Amino acid sequence: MGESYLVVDNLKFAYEGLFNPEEIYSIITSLFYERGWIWYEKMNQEEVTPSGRQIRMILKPFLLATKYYQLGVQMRIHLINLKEVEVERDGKILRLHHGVLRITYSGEVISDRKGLWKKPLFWFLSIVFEKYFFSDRKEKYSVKVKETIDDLSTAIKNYLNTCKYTYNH
Amino acid sequence: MVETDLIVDSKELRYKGIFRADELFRIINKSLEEKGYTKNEKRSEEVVTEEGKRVFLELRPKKEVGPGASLLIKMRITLDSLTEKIEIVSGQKRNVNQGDVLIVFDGWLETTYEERYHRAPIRFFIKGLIDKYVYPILPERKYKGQVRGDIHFIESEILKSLKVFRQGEEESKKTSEDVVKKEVEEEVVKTKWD
Repeated sequence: MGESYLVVDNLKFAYEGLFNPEEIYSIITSLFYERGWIWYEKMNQEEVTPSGRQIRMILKPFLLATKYYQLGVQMRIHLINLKEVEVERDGKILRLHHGVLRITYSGEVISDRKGLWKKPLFWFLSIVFEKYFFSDRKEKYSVKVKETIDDLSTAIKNYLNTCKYTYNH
Repeated sequence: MVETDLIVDSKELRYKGIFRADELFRIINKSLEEKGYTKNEKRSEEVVTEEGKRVFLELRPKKEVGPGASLLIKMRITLDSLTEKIEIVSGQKRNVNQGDVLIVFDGWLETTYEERYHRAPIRFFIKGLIDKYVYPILPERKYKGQVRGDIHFIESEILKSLKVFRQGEEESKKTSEDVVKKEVEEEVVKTKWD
C-alpha cells in the first residue's frame, strides 16, 4: 500500500434522543451500495448493561477508483445507553430507541493501492508525478471523499431532523 | 511542525430571544466567504429534551494569508432551549426559533516557519531588532490584526441579523399594546353609553 492522504479528519456528530438504529444503519449501507463502494465492517460489538445496550461499530467502506487510487471512509459509531421505548403518535404505537448516538467520520485517499511503486526510485517518481503532473486527480478524489461524507452526514441529520449547518447557504 | 499563536481568546457573543437558525448559519457562511475563509465543520451535537433542543456546532474556517502562514477561526456555537414558534417579524408572520445563542470565537495564527530560511537564529534576531526599533517588517503583526478584524466583522454581521429579529419582536409587542389600548378605549366608551 502506498501513501494515505487524510482528507476528512475526525468530523464528529452526536445526538441524544429518540431514533431507530436499524434505520440509521440502512441509511449508511444504502448510500454506499448505491455509489458502488465496497462494504467492510471492521468491528461490530454489542454489550448489554443495566443502563442499556452499548453498541460500538467501525465501518470502513472503500472504493477502488482507479488502478492506482483507492478512496476510503472510516466511520466509528457508538450507541450509548440504548433503551427501547414505546411512543404514541397519531394513535399508533411506535417502537423506538432512546439513547446517545456518536459518529466520527474520517476520509482518506490512498495512492498506489497495489503497492507496485514501493522501491525507492519508483516511490520518488510516484511522488513527483502525483505532486507535479497528476495533482488534479488526487484533488478530484479528495473532493469525492468529502462529498460522500457530506452527503452521508446530511442524510443522517435529515433523518434525525437535527438543526443543519450546510455549506450551500 | 506548526506553530500556533492564540490571538483572540474566547470572545463571546450572547443572545436570547427569537431568531432563525438557518438565517444565522447563512450569515456566518456569507461573512466567512466574504473574508476568504474555507469553511470547515468539525463537530455537531444535538440533544433533544422536553424544554427544547440543545445544539452544539464547532466550525474551524481557515484562510491562507502568506507563505507558511494561515489564519484559523474556531467558532463554538451553542443554541440552547431551542423551540419553534410563529412570530410576527416586521409585520409578517414567520416561522422562527426561540432560544439562547452563545457563540465563542477563538482566533489563531498558524505558521510553519520552523524550518524556513529566515528563522535561523542570527537572521531571526536581526530581523526582530529591525522590526522592533527601526521599521515593522515581520508580517505576524499584520496577520494578527487581520484575524481580529475578521472576527469582529463576523460578529457584527451576526449581531446585525439578530437585531432585525429583536426590533421585530419589539414592534410586534408595540402593536399588541396598541391593540389592547384600543380595545380598552372601546370598552370604556361602551360602558359610558350603557
